[in-house]
Order: sequence, then structure tokens, then C-alpha cells
Amino acid sequence: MYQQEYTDADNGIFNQWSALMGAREYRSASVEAERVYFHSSERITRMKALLARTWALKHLGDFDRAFENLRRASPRGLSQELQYRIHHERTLLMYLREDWEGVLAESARLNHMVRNPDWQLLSGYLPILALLELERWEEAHTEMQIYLDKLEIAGPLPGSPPDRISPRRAALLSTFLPGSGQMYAGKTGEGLGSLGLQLVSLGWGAYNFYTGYYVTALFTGGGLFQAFYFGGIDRAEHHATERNRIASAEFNREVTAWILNLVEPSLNQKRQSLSDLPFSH
Amino acid sequence: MSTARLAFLFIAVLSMLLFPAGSFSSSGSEGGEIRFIRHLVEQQFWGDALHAISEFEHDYRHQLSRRPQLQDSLHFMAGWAAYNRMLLPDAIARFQRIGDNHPRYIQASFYTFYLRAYQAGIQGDRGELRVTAGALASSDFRSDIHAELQSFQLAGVYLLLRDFNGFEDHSKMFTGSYFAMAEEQQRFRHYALELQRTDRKSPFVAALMSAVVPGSGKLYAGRRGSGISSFLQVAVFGGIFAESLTRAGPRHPRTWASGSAFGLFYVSNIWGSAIAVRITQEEIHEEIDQRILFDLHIPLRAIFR
Repeated sequence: MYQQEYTDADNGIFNQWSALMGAREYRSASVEAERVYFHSSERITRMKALLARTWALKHLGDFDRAFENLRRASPRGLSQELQYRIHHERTLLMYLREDWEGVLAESARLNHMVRNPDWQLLSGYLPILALLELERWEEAHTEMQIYLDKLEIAGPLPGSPPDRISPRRAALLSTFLPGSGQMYAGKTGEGLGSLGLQLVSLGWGAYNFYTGYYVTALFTGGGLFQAFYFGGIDRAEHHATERNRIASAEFNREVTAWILNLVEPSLNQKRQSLSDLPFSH
Repeated sequence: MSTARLAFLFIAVLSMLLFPAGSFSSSGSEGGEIRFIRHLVEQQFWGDALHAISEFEHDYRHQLSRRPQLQDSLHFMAGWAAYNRMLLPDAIARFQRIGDNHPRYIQASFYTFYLRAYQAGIQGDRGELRVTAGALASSDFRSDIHAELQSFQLAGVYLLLRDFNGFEDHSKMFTGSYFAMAEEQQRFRHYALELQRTDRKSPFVAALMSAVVPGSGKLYAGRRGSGISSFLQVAVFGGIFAESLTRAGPRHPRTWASGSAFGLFYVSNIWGSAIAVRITQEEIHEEIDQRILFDLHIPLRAIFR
């Protein structure tokens, strides 16, 4: 495959890469794209090769290497479409790598560098999804409203974000009323169990103290009580944090699916303004 | 000699000068691909480099058999890429195939020994460690720094084998004059002392100490936290037992229960102290093995940059 000459005048320079991608040989395709990058002396071809390699690596599920690869690209001065492709891939890869703040920063760069409003909209859902993951619900809601207006999509927005409970309050409740913090976090059974254990250990300590067994009272009754008491406070805080996390993840999953389903037809239309292959520039 | 024969001779000599055996012209596709493979190695795209090398070797297998120098270069690059991807058997196999007139032969030899020692050290394969030491000892390195590196690696392998006499024989050769390994040589001496000191500790002494003062055997084993915790546990159960004995008398069930608990903790503290010595020794051995294997490779990186 490397017998082909890498002259920039050759329009078929990415043919081999395309064939490998078509055959789902992504590892070979990524090497082939790097080969084009290495042998070509023309900047535009090299940038396209980086994009091609990123796509192959993305298919391999290696988002970290795909992102690192695209960091070698410098979009400034390229055609608007190539600039868009590079910024879009970077934003998307940051999302896939769960770098939510990175998505917001890269998305802002895309909007600054790419002037085509349709292309801006093509990547516009990514910062909204990142805001959701960052649990910045109000900003996500506002941005979503603006985004849907620009796409001329009308309709009710998804329900309000899940009610959050305070882990600090759960811990405080268990500090002053054992077991109540766990109940507040939705673990009623565990709360009652914790309360019962603390009462029994305290009762055992008091009984021994009353009958004159002070050492036994201190180290068995007192020891068990402090273990259940402080353990109960920690468990209440943990359950509250975990409950918030699960509720947020569930809400984000639903809203993400909702947005993508809603905007997909409009985005498909706008995608037609991009060339079939970025390499036909 | 005819003009035609003279012309042929001239072209033949010119070709030999321009294209010495084992090299490719960079303008050809083979040469271009070799430059590309070098680029992949330089960029540390190890997986891609291995992929490209295996494709190249497949497509040029007939030509490669006539170009041993190029074949060796490919083995070296593949070995280096495999080593960096921690594909140790592949790296060893590649390095071992490099011919002794290749410029990277000495580097490949040292890396082969190191990787074999590393593999055997991780797997605890003492037989393979001995074979590696034998192979390394029989190699002849002419330059002083390589000879000292050989002694350094041999000393490390003998330390892994806990053969302190073997270590002593080779550590005598340490001059300490090479910056690339002076610090590691010092550390090896320190490891040897630490291992010998650790092995001198006796589980019997630890048990005896804990029988007299609960927890002290664990302190002796080097586990301070565990020793203090054992002392407190035995003291608390001892206190509860003493209280029951004085207030309820020796026949009361409360005394029997607290006495049993105290006895159980007291005996387990003695037993635990003896075991703690063994566990601590194993942990120290394992940790020092890791450090030896790590230190063995530092001079390689510094010398063969």
C-alpha cells in the first residue's frame, strides 16, 4: 500500500485510507493516514491526514490517542470547512473523554473561528450536553432554549432537574438523631437498623455502668456505640451523595437522548452543506 | 579490457559507492517506508510502528533476506517498540535476532538480558534468572563502561537470586566513576544490607516478645501501628476480664466469657507476631525486587540514549 507515490498533485492520495476504512480495517487505516501525513509536504494534505487518522482511531475506540493526534493540527489559515472539521472533532473527542470544561472551551473556539452559522449549529448540542454533565442545569436549560430556537424547533423542554438532597444535612441529621440521615437519603431500613444498634449498645453500656462494671461499660457498650454512631453519620452522607449522583446520571441520560432525537433531522439537513469527504477540497 | 567491460566495471563501482550493502535509496518506495517507520518510532507510535514493520517485512521478505543490515535495523525498531509496549517476549525475540555487526548490537544485547531478568524476576523464575546470569557473564564487552554495566546487571541478577556471594563478587567491580549508574550501584549495596538484616529477624523471637509484652513482637517485625493496636486490644480485654474476676468471681459466666475473649486475643497476638515477621520479610523482599528491577533499567536508558 505504501508503494503509491505521495505527491500532492495526486487526488487519490486518500484512496487507500478510504478503502481500509470501508473494509473496517481501522488500525491499518490509522497507519495509512499517518503515512500520508509523513510523506506529504503540503500543509492542507497533512491536516486532512490528521483528520483521517483521528477518524480511524475514533472507530478503534481509542479516544485519547484520537484527541492527542488532533492536537498536532493547527487549523488557523485553513479553509472554513477544514477548520470546522478539526474544531468539531476536538470538541466531540473532549466530550467522549468526559472533559466537560474542555468541551465548553473548544466549542467557544469553534464559534469564534468558524463563521458559517449552520456549521456552528451542527456542533451546538455538545456544550449543552457538557453543561448537563457539569450539573449546571439552568445554563443548560437556557442554552437549550436558544439552540432549539435557532434550529426552529418548537416544543416543551424536558422536565425539571432532579431534586437534590444535601449530604451535609444527612450527616447532621444522623449526628443529632441517629438513623434519621439514612432515612432522609431514602434508606429507611438501614436508618432503623442503625438506630436499633446504637440503642442496644448504649443500653448495654448503661446496664454495665449501673451494675458497677465500669471497664466493661466503657469498652464494650461505649466502644460499640461510638462505632455505630460515627459509622451511621458516614453512611448517611455517602447515601445522600450516591442518590444525587444516580438521579443526575439518569436525568442527563434522558435529556441527552431527548435532545439528540429532536435535533437529528435538522442537523442531517445542515450536514448537507458539508462536502461528502473533507479530502475533496 | 574492452570499452564495454570498462563501462560495466565503472557502473558497478559507482553503484557500490552510492548504494552500500544494506542501505536503501530514500527516493525509492522502500526507502520512503523505512523513513516512515523511523518516524513512527520517533513519535513513539509503538503500535503503529509494529504494524508498519510487520507489513513491510511481509511485502519485502524476499529482498530482506539479501539485506541483513536492514533486517537487523527492523528487528531493532520492532524490539524497541515492543519493549515500550511491554510486549516483553516479542521484544526479547526481536533483540536476539540482531547480528553482532549491527551498530545497535550491544544495546540490544543489554536490553535482552535486562528483559529476560525482568520477566524472570516478576515470575519468580529462579532457573531462568540463573540462565540469564550465565549468558550475561559469558558475553564479552570491550569498552570499560559496557564491562561495568555488565557487572552492574550481574550484581542485580544475583541480588534477585539472593546469592549474596555472587553479588559481592560483581559489586567489587563497581568503580562508581560512571554517572549513569553510580547512584544505582550504591542502592544495590544498600538493598543487599537491607535484605540480610531483614532475614535475620526470627518469628520465634517475635512470638516470645509478644508473650511478655503484647504487641512488642509486631514492633520488632517492623509493624508499629499493628503492634500498638494489639497491645490496646489485649489490654482492654485483660481489663474487662480482671474486672469480672474481681467483682463476679472466677465461676461466674461473665468471667468465663471475658476470660475466653482475653485468652483468644492474647494467643492470637502471639501467633500474629510470628506471622508478622514472615509477612514483613516477604513484603520487603518483594518491594526490593521491584526496586532492583527498576534500578537495573535506569543505566540502560542513560547509556543508550
